[in-house]
Amino acid sequence: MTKKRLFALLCAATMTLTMTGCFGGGNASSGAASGAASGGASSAAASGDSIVIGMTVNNAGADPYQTAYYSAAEAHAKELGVELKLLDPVGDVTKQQNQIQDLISMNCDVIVLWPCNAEAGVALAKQVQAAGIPLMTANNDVAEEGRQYVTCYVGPSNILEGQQSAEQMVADIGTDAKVLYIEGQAGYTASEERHEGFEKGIEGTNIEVLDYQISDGNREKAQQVMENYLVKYAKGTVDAVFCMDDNLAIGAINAMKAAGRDDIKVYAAACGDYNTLTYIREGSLGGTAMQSPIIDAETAIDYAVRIAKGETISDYNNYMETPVATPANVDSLNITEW
Amino acid sequence: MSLKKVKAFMSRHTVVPILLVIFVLASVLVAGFFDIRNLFNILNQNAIKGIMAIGMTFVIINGYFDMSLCTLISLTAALSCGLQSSIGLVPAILVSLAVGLIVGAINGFLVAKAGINAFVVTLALMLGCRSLSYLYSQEQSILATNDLFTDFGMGRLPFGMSYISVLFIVMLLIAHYVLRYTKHGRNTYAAGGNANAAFNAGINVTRTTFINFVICGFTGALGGVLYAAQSGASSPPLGWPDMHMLVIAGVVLGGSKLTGGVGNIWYTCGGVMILGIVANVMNLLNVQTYVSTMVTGMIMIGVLYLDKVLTERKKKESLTNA
Repeated sequence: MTKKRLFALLCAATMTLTMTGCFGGGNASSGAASGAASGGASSAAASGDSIVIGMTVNNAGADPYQTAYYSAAEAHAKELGVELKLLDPVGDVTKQQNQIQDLISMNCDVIVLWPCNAEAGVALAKQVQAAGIPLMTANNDVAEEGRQYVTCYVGPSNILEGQQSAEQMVADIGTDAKVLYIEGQAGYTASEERHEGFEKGIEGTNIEVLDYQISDGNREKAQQVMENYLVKYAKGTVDAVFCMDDNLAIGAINAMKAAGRDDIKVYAAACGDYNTLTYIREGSLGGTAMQSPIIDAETAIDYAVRIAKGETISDYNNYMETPVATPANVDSLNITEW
Repeated sequence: MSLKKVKAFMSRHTVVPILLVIFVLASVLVAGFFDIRNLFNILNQNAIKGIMAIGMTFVIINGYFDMSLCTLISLTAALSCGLQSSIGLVPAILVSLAVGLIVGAINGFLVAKAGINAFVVTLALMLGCRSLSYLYSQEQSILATNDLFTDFGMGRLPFGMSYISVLFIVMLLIAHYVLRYTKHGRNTYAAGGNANAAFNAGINVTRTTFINFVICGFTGALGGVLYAAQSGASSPPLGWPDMHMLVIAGVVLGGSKLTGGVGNIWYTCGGVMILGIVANVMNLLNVQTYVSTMVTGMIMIGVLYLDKVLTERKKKESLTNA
């Protein structure tokens, strides 16, 4: 009985200690702690001469594009001699929220946000601004409402990519075709925006979209979706399938190869994987807007450094180039390997 | 308190020494950890998970667990954001919480009354909530339109503690009171320890279990609403796929037993904070997320093993002393 009461007391004590204890005795003790720690780890933020960039990049490691982005950003930061804190929320908005708070408490000079979700990104942008740290969005922007808190956006235009690729598709299959659509992850902004671009690209044509299905953004699921499509739609009833990205398109191509079908042309809104070019070369992928993660990451780091140095960026949207690759033009585009 | 007493206390409540060791190690080894802003940051980051863990603690002490939490939160987040523009903020929140109570009641009815395995029941509800959430939100994120809502979610007291953290602490105290000083609390321990004995002693085990699932549904729904308030929007994959696991992990890490009958609310608080500190340290050290997930898993195994060893030793000691 007394032990339990004691325990409750001690718990309360530890909690108050962690909260108020160090608050009261704050400066002396925390100063000592960080002083001792900085001997081992480099705390550039304290010294002030090196630029610290805090970055939260969605899904590095899960997706080839993000993985290439991740290493390109790290390599480029090392090249420029800036410190980069790169975190990954693996698609989880709550985790990203925590990471933004961690980056704020790390005293970064600039925070680069690749939001998991554009709407949830608004609150993140607001928080970073309230902390007095400049914020830049990369690859994926926050929703309209949050842009007032953001210095600028650097990355591809998902809408433009979706539109470019859809226009290429229309040029190939004509304006009276029937198509299927494979979406990415529900609620993921790139997926929604490319969809918007796709609708723009087929606007004014008689193209009929027979089905929209989500794939959770992974290749295996996309393959399953395509397998179901193939069962549902017999040979000759569909002209093309349009996928949110190349990863899903390869899933669709695999499903078609396994079923022995070649009557449906495959298009991807955008491509972030260099190896996908082999599918374009062999003709199984009809066309996709090429988006190089190296250029994407390097541009983002360059802009982040400029913001950290106090430069003003004149334009809000800074789009990178994303040319459409097709079997006909793939060799003349001169794309650097990643 | 003599050293012996401290030792006895520590081996009785293993979460305390483990939390202390992790805290001290992090403070000494990780630059930027022992900083008042960062410590509040950890509390704020884990307050919502902690609130959900409170409800889970009741169910776990009762000898069950609830997996429907993971998608219930995305459903209630979507409802609270989507309805506030049409029916007003307070009704929207009330509807969301009512949905949580209903889901909890269905769980409770099927487990306690119909006697179906809790794993299957809560898994089914988890899938059901997921599709409801996707159907309602049309796979879109919904922005919260009411400023009061987001101001509460993002609000901070002058010294850095968020309003949600204050709510968490208040709820901890209430839960502590209910578990320790009310009939329902004592019944929960009895039902979780040995349901047959509790039944024979005249305790209404069915009702106790039912109520605990309703409590868990309520805190889950509240968690969803708070996540929506904190991020100013709901997103369909919120909580998916492993939020319930992290919450259960927090409870179990604290020392509550999955077999039921053992545990208390401060264990849960400690367990959630251990997970929170580990995640924070991994971020401060700039460790890749997948590595940090693995480290979290290893720490869980280590802690539970240590807990097992200490409990066993204590048992042996009490046998030799007698």
